[in-house]
Amino acid sequence: MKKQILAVLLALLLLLPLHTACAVQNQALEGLEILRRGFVGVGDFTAEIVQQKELSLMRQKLVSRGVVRFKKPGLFYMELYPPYASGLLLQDNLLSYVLTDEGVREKVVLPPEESLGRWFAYLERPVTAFPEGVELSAERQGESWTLHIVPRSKGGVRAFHIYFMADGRLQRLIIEERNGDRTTLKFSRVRKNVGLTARDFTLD
Amino acid sequence: MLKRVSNWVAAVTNRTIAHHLSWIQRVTSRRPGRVILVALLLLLLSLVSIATCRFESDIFRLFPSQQGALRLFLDSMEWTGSANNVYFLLEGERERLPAEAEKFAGKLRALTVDGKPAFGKVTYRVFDPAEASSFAEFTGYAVSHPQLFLKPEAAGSFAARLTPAAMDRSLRRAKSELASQAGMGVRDLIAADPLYLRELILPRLKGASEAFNLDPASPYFLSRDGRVLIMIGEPVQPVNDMAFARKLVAGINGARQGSAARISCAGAHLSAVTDEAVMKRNISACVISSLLVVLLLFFFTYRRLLPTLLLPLIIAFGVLLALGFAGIFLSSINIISIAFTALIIGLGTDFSVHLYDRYYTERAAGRATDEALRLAVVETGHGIFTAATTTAFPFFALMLSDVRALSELGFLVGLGVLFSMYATFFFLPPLLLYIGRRFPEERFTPLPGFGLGRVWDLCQRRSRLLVGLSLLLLVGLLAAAPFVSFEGELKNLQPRQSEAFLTQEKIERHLSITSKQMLVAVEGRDLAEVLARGSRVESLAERYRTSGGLASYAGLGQLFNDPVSQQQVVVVLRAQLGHADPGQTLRTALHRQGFALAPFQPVIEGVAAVKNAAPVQATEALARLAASPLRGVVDKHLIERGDGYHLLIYLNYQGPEFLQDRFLTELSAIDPAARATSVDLVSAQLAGSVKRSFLYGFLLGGALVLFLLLAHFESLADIVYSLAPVLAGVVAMLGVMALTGMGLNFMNAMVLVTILGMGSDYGLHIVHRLNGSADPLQRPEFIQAGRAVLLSALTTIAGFGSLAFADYPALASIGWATNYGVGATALFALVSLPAAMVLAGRRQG
Repeated sequence: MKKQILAVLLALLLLLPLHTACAVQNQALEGLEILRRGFVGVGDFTAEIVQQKELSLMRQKLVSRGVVRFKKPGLFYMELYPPYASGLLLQDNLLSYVLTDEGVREKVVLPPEESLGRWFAYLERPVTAFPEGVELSAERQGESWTLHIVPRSKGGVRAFHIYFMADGRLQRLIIEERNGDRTTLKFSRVRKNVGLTARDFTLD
Repeated sequence: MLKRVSNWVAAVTNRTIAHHLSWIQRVTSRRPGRVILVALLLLLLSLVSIATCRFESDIFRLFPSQQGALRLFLDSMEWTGSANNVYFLLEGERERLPAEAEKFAGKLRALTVDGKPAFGKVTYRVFDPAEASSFAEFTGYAVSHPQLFLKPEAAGSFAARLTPAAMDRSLRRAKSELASQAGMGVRDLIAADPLYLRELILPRLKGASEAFNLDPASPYFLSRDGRVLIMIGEPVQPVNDMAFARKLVAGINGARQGSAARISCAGAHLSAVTDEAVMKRNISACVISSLLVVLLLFFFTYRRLLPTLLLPLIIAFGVLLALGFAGIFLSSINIISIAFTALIIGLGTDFSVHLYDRYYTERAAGRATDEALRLAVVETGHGIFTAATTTAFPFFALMLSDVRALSELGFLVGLGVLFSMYATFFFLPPLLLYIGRRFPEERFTPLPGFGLGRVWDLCQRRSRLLVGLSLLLLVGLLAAAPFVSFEGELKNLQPRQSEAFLTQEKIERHLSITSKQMLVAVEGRDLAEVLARGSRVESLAERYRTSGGLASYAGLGQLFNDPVSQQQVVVVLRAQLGHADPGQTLRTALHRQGFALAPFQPVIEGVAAVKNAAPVQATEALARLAASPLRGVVDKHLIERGDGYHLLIYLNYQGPEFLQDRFLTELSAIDPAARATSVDLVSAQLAGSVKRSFLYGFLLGGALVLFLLLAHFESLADIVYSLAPVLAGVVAMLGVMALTGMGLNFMNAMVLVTILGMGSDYGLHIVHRLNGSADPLQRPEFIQAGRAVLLSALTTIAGFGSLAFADYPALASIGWATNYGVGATALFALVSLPAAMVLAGRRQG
């Protein structure tokens, strides 16, 4: 569960492990820095999403619509609308989620390295080197960029693919799992600094 | 007849002692070189013995642990590994603790000792994400074997979840969960149990696996109040590897530096290293401070440098010979017993005080060196000899105790007293002879009387008043004495300021499920039989829980059902499911809700088999649990060793509402072979053992002292006079302890025995001197003997008094009790006794 949440955060907030291994300047680093710059000066953020899950447990794709929001210094919210309604709130490293129709509520304290504050701190610095623990590659086609991130660890995620524009606007995120499952998130109506309040981060 | 035998024994004994002392006087004055040579040879042999002796610091080895509650207590610590674990307690802000725990755990995992990892495992999270797959696998097994893991009363709810409508609800929920951001983490769990049947099973397993009272919302071992986080480290080497333990503790100290959380630590390794250091520091401080006070007392009284400087040599000789001699008979010596050194400083100095005081007094009276020495060694030496033996023998009587703390201390102190006495007899006279020859013009001015002359005069004038006041004081303290309490809590004898003690207190305060716990062990070679017997014990525990005697209990029966309960579950499931086919129903529901069937084939088959379920062997359940992330629960409750299986059941209770005696009687009735232990039972066992030891020690020590006094004095009245101050001192000691709220405990109860030996000297010396002198000489004789008694009491108080300030309450309580006893005995010997003797003399005269 945490890995997928973090995968989404990764796309939104450039969530990457923090230790630098070398300082090779290449296209991947350039792409990463473009994404990071697109985030600089952002106090809050909201976007509509369409999520598509291709799961080995299901005969058909699960398609959901919803919304994501975040606000500095440590709030992240994600809501999926019916038919598979759910809500998720991350307050720094305290994660709460609800399955709206089923009335299920859960709370989990995440390890500190997965807290929002840590990622925000990362975004303060320009990207000058490859992050440790992942392999990075990037492609550019005109104004469109694709960043491929392959974790070296043997966790559930095989790769992340992030699609974004040259101005840093996020378009799509694909998460590939080792078991063949695949999640695609498409972002639209992306708005920055709209003055989100605490009410926008409540799980009802 | 009896009187004649008694007189004959006294005469023979006195003649033998007199010959022995005369021989010592001859040898030391004529062949001092040979005396020193033999002494050096003995010293060398003692050093060899000490070098080959093993010193240990395990406090549990000081108590009888071959059987009873303490045996099981120690066994269970070894079985469960808790004896070797290191417990870290992180305190700080709730929000910061997890981050600090992660950092600290990283440091501990990276910690190495001699190039190898110091810890085999560091645990601080309830759930390890790496075990998600095996957890899902176990869940699949558990939900397809509800007869094993479902409480009989939940069987109806389980069957209700197998209807088509309920399955549709569960599968819709599964879809929502898969679609959510939680989906990736729960995929395997949903594949194993798409109907959420685990919700009826896991709470039971989770409850049974909780060793601490933790915040259920946190993935860490965090207390409910969020203020402390516990981390458990498993060192790769056992605690008896002291070199490893020292390096480990040094590494831990380095790892916790710079942390934003306050990190404290408990466990055998830390105790072994830090408590050893504290103990050594305490004992060193006691020895040095008491030696300093004793030397100062001696020097300011007699104003002689060389005899003062000889005192440490006499004491060191006595201590080293005692240790060396003990090393021949004891396989190891506990480091806490080294505290006896402080006692020897107090007790061993008495002999030099009495001997030198007599020598000095005779020289001051104009006698020559040889004559003064003869009187000191043979005349006063007789009193010293009797006093030393009356001191040593009650200590030796403690050797009868099966409490090693007492028998070892008694043996060492007894030896130390005797060797100090001989060191005094063999070393002091040659030195005095040397000084006499080297400084023939040495002047012997009268010694200070410390007001004893006025005390003697008062005794002459107001003997009736003094005796009356003494009796009044004694009666008052006698009335208070029965109110002295017995402190049975072992932990209260540990050093209060030690980190291990304080951390353990915090763990109990923040994380313990209840304040007290009893452990019941059911043992045998046949697992099925052991489990069946354990089930009966759990039934008994359940009865106590429902009646409020127990807050809770934990056993394997909490994890899975016995055959009877399994059958109950099977009956309910068969009745409720009737002709339904849960496997086919699930298959249809999965298809209807859009799920693929292949990943769910195992659970379809498992649910299909529920209808025809039959009781499962406990061994199968144990094997499944042992292969799951819940293996720790099995390890906590079932231990297999070469001698068979040990099934442990933990009973949690708050206090007196749990009628332990009644429970133990009932336990014995249903399983006579079952054993039980708890802190209360261990304390009771030790208390019984200690009380028995002291009763025997008191009787034997008293008999020995009485025999020695019979041999020394020819009159019954003299024996009564000799014993009266010490008996009054014991009463006063207990009375003062009761009035000051200080209780007797396992350690200071020894003073009840040893005070007999230490205190009987005071009366003996006074009576010994007053008896042999004519009326006009009684005043100076009293002043001389009284000064020596006063100095002896002060040096003993200096020796024991230093213990009173030790960090170890066990040692401190010995110090305080002895000081009360010795102080009171000295008071009765120096004031009440002469007054009583004067009064009795007038009546006779």
